[in-house]
Amino acid sequence: MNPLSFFDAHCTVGRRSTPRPENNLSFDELVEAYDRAGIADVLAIHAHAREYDPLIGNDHLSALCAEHPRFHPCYVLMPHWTGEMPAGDALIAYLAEGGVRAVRLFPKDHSFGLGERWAGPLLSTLEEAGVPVFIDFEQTDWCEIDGVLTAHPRLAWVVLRAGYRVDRWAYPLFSMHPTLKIDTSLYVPHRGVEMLTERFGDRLVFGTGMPVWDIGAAMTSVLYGILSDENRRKIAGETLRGILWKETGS
Amino acid sequence: MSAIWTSVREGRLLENEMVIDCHTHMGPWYNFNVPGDPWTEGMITAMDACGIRKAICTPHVAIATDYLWGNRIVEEVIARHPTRFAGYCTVNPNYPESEIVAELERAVVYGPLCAIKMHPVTHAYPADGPGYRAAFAFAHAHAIPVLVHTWESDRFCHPMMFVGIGKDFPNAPILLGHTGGPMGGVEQSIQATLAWDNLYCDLTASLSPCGMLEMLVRRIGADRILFGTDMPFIDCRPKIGFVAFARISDDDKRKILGRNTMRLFGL
Repeated sequence: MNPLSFFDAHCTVGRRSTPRPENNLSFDELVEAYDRAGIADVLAIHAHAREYDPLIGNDHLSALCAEHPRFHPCYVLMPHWTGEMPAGDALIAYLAEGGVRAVRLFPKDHSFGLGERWAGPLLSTLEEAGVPVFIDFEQTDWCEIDGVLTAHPRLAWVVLRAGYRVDRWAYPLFSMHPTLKIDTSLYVPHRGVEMLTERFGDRLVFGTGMPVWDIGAAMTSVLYGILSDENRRKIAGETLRGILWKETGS
Repeated sequence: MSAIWTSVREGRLLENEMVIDCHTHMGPWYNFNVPGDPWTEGMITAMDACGIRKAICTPHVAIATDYLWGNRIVEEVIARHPTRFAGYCTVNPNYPESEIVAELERAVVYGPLCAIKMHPVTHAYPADGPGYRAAFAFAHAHAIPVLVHTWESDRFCHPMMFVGIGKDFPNAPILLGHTGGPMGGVEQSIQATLAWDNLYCDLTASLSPCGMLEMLVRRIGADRILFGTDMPFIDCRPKIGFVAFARISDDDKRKILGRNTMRLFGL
């Protein structure tokens, strides 16, 4: 028996704007794929929250996750300035009410900046409450990430699908920012999982990118990694479980 | 349940399967850091970690500045590790045809290399240009495989370019490297592959789209698909899971993981 308990950091549920026929999975098909892969837990956003309206999508997500405890809500947020999203204590109450474990930002898709002028209050609120932030690398860049983590050094920050050509950009930031992590779904340099872990410790969390990207390809980076049992367990799920928001209301 | 996926999910190597990587490189690369040892020993370590028996290799320097040097590097590697490595004779069409033909004769006819590699992007030369025709003709005459980097809508190597090339050189098995890359390139590769029987799809890519392999098997058949990883350009392990987890039969997985490559390359 394999003792690894995988926790996928990167899943999208709900109907998407541009599915392809081969990855247009219903929720039941998504569940079946996770069953077949033996994935224990899934951190998910709702497609409506990214591609239609964050508040509506977040509501749909919480309703779905309430019925399927394996799926954990990751709300999509925006800065509060336009009145579309709560701020401060009201934001934290909104997250707690939804059973949220983490949040995700899409600054390019949702047309806002990650700099302090735009996202500073939001990031300060999340930093203070201990809510981890997930962001697709295609939505930002390393200079912007450096700026965010310099301004918010206690903010847990996970970059999704960072790519394999990133070490020259990312290694200095791993050295400077202890809260910076990336997911494994596209971090595929030759023996990169081992080298990053050896040099910087617990910086990797398992992620698939389902249903757009394949589960099996994501899993073998961990299953066949030349890692200690402890590090393999951490990457598969323990590190992610350790940073997820545990507040249930305040 | 797939016996192959069950083994992989339990972290066990596919020791009873013949897993051959049809698309590997070797050595450093200018554009990014290769964090693991990019030479022979580092590659063998990675291969052993996931059960790859043999890798067919074109060193990075061959697809960059010096194809002649790269060919000699892989020949030395094959001499040291004949059971673990086979090699491509890489050609650069920016050099004289006489030099290319002489190199093919030396390395393939009288040497250990078993196939030809072309990289139209790094050499900035169209796959259907005159500088490549002597090498395609050589492959046709000797019935040896040609691996060509392909990418969606790329002016040097979009997959539809190979409809004409496949027709002109029917005895040469031509591998569409990366299956054209993004899903648009996969669609183009399928169209090209359906046009000519001597065209094949190589799964090598950093991207592993959900459902892609099932769709590819359904439309062109498992006999036309080869397992490849790009190691050490990228890590070799994800593609094992990509094939193992697919909703296709274990017999089709065996064809893709190694049997097709053994047949085409005469291994």
